[in-house]
Amino acid sequence: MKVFSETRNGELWVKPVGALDAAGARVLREHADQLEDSTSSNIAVDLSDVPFVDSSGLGVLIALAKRAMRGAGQLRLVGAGEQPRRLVHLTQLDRFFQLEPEAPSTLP
Amino acid sequence: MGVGGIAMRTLDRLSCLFRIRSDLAEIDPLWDEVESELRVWVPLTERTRSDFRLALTEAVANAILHAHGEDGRPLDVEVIIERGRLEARVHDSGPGFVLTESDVTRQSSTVESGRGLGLLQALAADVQYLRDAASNELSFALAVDWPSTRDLS
Repeated sequence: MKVFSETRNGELWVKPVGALDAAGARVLREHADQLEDSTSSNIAVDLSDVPFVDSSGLGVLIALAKRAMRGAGQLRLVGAGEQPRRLVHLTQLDRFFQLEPEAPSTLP
Repeated sequence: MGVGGIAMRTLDRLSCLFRIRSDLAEIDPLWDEVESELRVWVPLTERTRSDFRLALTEAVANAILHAHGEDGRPLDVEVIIERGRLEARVHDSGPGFVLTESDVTRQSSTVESGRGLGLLQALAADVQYLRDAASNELSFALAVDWPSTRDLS
């Protein structure tokens, strides 16, 4: 798991690359913790290079959403493939997460 | 069978045993190995493959996080292919737990953890947890549909 991030137009873009399972979720959580002082309250997570998400990965995405909401911002999940979308549907988090198809991130 | 013939074998039951270290970083490579075997033996749909990966990942992560800890001890994962059925058994030697019915959607949407076994039960049939004095076994099965014979030519 690799994680890239950048701030663009006042929005924090985070791009994990690899499986967002328990091990990957730990890497993403640690990376997000290092960005705690970011002034961006809006967060976009680019999932276009995440082929797989499990319950641990989902937990980190929920934590990021909470962080955005604490700052009166929002979390967007962009470019999610079929498996992450199915997981969100199975857990009935469709209305909690804002899923968007495109991934216009400039991150690698 | 003569030269140039086609071998047909009924696939009654195939068991593959994988041994990993009790370490979360082992789960993704484990799936790579399991998937490569499945691709040889079973024509699964992408949805079934994806659901099996999720169920297996949750079962193995549960054993590592709640039974062994990340102590590097061996953890055995058995994948069994039978006609109409794809089963996994995760063996651990931890203290064990009590498996109860868990509804993955019943929890608050903002809960960050504790969905693993609920997801497993939502995805798979016949989820069982067996305990004896020496070890524990968490098993589950997915119903699948594939031909009963495989062309081995």
